[in-house]
Amino acid sequence: MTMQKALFLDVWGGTLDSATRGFDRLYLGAESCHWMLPGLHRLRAVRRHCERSGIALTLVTPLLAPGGLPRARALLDELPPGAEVVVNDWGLLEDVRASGLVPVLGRLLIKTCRDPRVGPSDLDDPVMLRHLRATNLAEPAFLQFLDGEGIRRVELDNVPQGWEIALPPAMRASFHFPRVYASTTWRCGMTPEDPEARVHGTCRRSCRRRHADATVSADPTRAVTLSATYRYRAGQLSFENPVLPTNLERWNVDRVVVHEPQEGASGGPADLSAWDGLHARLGSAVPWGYDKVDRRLVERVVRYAPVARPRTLDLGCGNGRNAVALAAAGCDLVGLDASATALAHCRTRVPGVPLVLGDAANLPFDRARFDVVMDSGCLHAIPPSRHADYADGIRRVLAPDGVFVAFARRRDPEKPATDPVFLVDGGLAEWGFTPGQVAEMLGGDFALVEATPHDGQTGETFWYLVFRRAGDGTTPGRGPIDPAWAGALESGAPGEGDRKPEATPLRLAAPVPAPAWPREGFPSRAALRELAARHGFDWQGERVEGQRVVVELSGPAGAFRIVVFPATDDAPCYRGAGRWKVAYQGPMPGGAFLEALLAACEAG
Amino acid sequence: MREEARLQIHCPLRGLDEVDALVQAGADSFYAGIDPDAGPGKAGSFLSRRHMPNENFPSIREFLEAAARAHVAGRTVHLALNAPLYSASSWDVGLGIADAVVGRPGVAGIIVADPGMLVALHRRFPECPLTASTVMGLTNEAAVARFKTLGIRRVVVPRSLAIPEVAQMVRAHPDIAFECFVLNDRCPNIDAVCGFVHGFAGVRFDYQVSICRCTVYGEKGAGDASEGTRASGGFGENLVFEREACGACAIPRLREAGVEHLKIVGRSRPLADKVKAVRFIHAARELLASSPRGDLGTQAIALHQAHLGAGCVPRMCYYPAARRPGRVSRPAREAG
Repeated sequence: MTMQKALFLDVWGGTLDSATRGFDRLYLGAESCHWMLPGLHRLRAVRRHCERSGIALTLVTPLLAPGGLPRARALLDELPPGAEVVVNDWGLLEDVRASGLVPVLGRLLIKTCRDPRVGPSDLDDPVMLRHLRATNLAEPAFLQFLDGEGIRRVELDNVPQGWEIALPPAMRASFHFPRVYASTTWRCGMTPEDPEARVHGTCRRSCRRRHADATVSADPTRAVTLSATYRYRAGQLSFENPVLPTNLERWNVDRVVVHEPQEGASGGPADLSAWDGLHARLGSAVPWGYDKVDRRLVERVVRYAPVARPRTLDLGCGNGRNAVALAAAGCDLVGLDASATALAHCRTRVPGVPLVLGDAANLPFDRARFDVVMDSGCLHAIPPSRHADYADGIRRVLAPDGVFVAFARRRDPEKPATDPVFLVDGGLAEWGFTPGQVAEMLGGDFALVEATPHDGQTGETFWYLVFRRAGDGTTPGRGPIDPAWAGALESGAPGEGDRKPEATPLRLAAPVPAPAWPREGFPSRAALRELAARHGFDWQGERVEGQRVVVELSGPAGAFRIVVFPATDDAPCYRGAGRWKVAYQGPMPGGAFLEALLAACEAG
Repeated sequence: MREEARLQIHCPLRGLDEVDALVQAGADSFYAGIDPDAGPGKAGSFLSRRHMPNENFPSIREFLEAAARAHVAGRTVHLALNAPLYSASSWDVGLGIADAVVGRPGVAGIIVADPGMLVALHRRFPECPLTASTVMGLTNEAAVARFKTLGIRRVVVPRSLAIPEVAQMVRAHPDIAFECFVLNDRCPNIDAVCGFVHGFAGVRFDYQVSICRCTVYGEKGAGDASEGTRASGGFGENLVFEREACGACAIPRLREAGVEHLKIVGRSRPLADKVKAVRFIHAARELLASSPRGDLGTQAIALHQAHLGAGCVPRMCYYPAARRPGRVSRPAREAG
């Protein structure tokens, strides 16, 4: 089955040529608010572009209030016969068919749980998983109804729990990625002063320029500890699931619908499709080699990682040449790349490793998600206008004491940082760096640990760079920057290692052991183990994340996680007392245990 | 133009012992679910939109007894089979319940949400009046028209619609009865297309309460609303669930729009609360009937205070435009 690639475009500030390059189909429209539908002129322009570029067009229509019906119907008249229309409102179905168009069942009309709080403990519980996977697409009568309505395609979401469906062979599915639809509200979050903006036509359509990310936090009255982040935009609540499942064909998926990058605060959406085009065009002939592991880079990850089995982000993982070695070295790996083609190859090499199609300058991961971020030639492909976004992402996803390891092009410090130093395949620009420039990007809490120059075989020059993020004071071994590299930091000039690359990489810090148990005055592991055993729970493991102690436990209701953290941290919790707070993730283990745990922590 | 009939108060029911008290308070009809697998230690069959403990009748027998008692009092009960979807096992249980109750004394019809279930019920009971639950998401007149051909005779209007929009739907379908929410549980999200876990799981979650009942932090603008940018501005407040929501001020306008049934939410609430709620809406209805101007003015707010023991606040309003003096809703402007 050939996998088509479609781009979901609702609002776009750039040019269509750049946006749609590399895609077979364009989805245009909105799912939750009719004010976000394109106007007639816009639709005509996009249709012309698609016809010129040989790209198919799908119009996406929303759930409709009475005032939205005429607007949606007018757009149908602009489509050529046989064009696809995604229907999210039962009322528009008849119009679509009557216009000779092809109806597709939209995400809003497909029932299943879509909740950002569904977590690993839910997915590990077979009973919970069965309930979470309940969907009307598994209901024979509903499928018969769709058949009678002439619907032969459905739009699936990248829901965390996956799908348990067996669609009829004639029914195809599209797969939306990475944003998951969660809910729709017409109590507008953007025009709150007019609750009937939809009726009055006073909508300012500010969703075209912005969205809002909301954190749903604990409800102390219900002992809710899980929090989640979702995005509000154009009446829709959505969240991101960046892990693309393997073997989409089992759900009759023959199309992946990629959601456009949201317009960011700086730099605008990135044109990532060019990199995918390069992978698709050159295959194994991509200039950085297809099979060769960069052992120098992987060895540095292993050497500097703050823990034995580091949670590692392979940034710009490409076809997976380094991912193989990282996984073999015991890293708990996640790969990210801008090219779906490259990721498809990567998946065959490291099956089971979560792979994320995404933008290195807009990382879709939680705060402190990784112990190591390894960048293999990705940073130097980021345009200077987006360096700040890139660095913001690294700072966000890297845990305290985490390590940033990069392989990046070197530049002559006399030349402007904005001048490209290389053109990949004669077209895509790459930029060079100095260690000081990278240090400045990352900010003051990152210490340069190593900067080793490397000369490529064709005269190109690179750096191997290692930075360690400041921890919470519990990690030993970090010291001031070696004077031998002070000059390099200031001038960007290569240091001693330039003459003997790889001979003796300079390191300023010894390999750092895993962070110690939090501190004096905190109960020992043994004491906490005993406490858990007294309450009938099995100790599955523990780890320290900065000032947080995370304990994995299991009990009659299944596996769960306890997090103990300082009271100064205002993250959601079950309860806090004095110096410490306690939170749980997964089935509630019982108040008695949590209270006893809290008391033990307070007592030290 | 349909004739303005007396507004009917549609009230939740979950036990035989509730019927008499609610009839005395002023209820005209009831809606109720049956979940034989509900109760302590049981998984629940997820047969209707409400599937938590004590939200449904535990047996067909008790449901039929309640329907018969309502019938004696001149009232009716609608069976809620309005789960958003049905698994193979719950499908069979649901149809079995329908078989047992359709045509029995006091049973006025079935409320449905799933198109598959609607088709099956209409084939099985062609004469049985079917109501489109709010979970079906009929938000415009074309959607009503689509399902009218499949046996829908009454529509529970989604909470998200404004009164002018309701009026437009009523005008388009004079042969359909329309029912609007007037009290309790105003969720900001649209039931029919909401995927948050409480509506779907069919199991008892200890920690995954409705996301819209939690505190929401947000800030307008692109980018993260991280801890540093928490704000309690309009965005967050606008999207928070309101348990005590009220639309009593809008009753005159709902009547003008042609709405026939006023829905009170809260199957699981204590009987005393239900009685207060019905008395409140009944008092508002009677006041309106005796009003020479056909309006409630600010008296609905006074009734709220008198019957529910608390003043209403704007953010709890089901139909804010109806509450604000001087605000006149106009039909939507044609999009350019």
